[in-house]
Amino acid sequence: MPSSRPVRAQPIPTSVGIGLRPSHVAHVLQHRPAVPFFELHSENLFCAGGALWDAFDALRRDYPVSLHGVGLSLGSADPLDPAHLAALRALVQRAEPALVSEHVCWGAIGGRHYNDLLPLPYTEEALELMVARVGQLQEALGRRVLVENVSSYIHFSHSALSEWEFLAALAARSGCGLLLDVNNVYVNSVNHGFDAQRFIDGIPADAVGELHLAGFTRKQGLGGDLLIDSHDQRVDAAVWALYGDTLARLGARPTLIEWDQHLPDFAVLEDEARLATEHLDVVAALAA
Amino acid sequence: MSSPPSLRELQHAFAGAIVDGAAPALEPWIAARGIAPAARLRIYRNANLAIHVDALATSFPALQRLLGEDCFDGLATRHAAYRGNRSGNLQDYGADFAAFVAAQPETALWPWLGDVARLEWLRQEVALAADAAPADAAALVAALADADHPPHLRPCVRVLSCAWAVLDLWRHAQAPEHDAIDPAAPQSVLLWREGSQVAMRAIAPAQAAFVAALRRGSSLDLALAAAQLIDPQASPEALLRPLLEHALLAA
Repeated sequence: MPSSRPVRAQPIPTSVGIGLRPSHVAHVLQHRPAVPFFELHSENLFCAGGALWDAFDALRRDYPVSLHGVGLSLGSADPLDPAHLAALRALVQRAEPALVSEHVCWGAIGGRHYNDLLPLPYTEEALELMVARVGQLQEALGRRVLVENVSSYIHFSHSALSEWEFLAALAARSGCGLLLDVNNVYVNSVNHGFDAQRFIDGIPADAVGELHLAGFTRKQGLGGDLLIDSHDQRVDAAVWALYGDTLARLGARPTLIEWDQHLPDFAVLEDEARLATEHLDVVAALAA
Repeated sequence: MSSPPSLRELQHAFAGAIVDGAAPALEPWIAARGIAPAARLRIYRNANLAIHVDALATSFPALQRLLGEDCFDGLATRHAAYRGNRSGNLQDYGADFAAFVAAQPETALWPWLGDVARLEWLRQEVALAADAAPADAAALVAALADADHPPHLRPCVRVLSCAWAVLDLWRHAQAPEHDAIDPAAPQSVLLWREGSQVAMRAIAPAQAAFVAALRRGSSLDLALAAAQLIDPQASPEALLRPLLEHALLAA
């Protein structure tokens, strides 16, 4: 039975894990690759049982796991969906993940869910709401969470804060940690015309509990540069450079390779993880 | 220029852009930087449709094969745009898709397609249902002797009764090289989880009524009566046999 808890949660090591998607589960369970940790989407385990839970129970005997939510819609002007919050709470109690994260975004309004990570205006009103919502989430789960910066294709001109000021204030006021997606920083720097280094410099180092890396695609034909956070490519050279800068400024952090669309062979993800590990090793060597 | 929108106003206007493709009140508050605000909003609209069409294609693969990709995408896009999802969990999306499909003009000539979609949604429910250990012999004997506590089915058990040969149609969609089928032959289907796989078999209509009654929490006597309304010859032994054979009664 999945509810019997055969192992205690193992902490996430400061190394490079892989986001595990359902189509790679069988490969991982069969071959048990040497991956330091796996991250799963929380909602994939909202079901009560079945193959995904069987796989998860097998997985967590051998690997540390983190849970990454994509559907809570923390920044919605509507109240949090109590059923979704209850399902997440039950999941966290049952799965005992080493880390729990969500997004700085909204995805639902008026009872309809768009199942996407939609951008917030960086206003005091949105900040106050996010602080309250993260507080509600942390209280419901009885633990600190990490929240992740999202890619966006829209910047609201009435934003009073930069995105990094918004994240820093959110972490300071709510006590949450940050999951810094380096790809999203780069994508937004191109899409909204800011210096990615300023973003990294504006993030409080001690709040950052995890980094994400993924690939983007370049959208043509709109009259200007636009990068789409497609999670269907290898990490771009510019993002690897920014990752190196980020590690140099923050120090080593657990890092995750994410790939969500047009999933390649698992070996490709392992190769991306190897490249990220080389960056982490450099930081560790410099720190030694 | 008027004052900026509140967060709630902004989100309702943004949702309008996703659903209807336009948000004139919001566009003045979107920085252009060489790309029209409407084009920026369209990225979200297109992504939203793609997310939901992909989710339906994942949950309804047989329907997609029977309809063809273009026709399926058309129906799924319409559903995504006008119905959408009421849950933050994409696994929940599609519960009403079968009824939607059955009511669309494209499917009027193939009235069994709605039932194929119903079967596929039940397969999803079965795949995600809670685990429960099957009843052992002692628990079964106790339950059978106690009218107040009838045996209950494992949470993964579902049953579907159709006016069409829904299971044959589903199998035909998986492997079209098989023999020609007669869609107009009524069929009832028992679904359950075996290991981590969804299992299905055709059952008699009386058997389906029996399982449906047990799923509603009826006593064995009432479930038997429901079955015998359809087939007066149905015996308790015959009705219980598939449930015992596949270990579908819960401890």
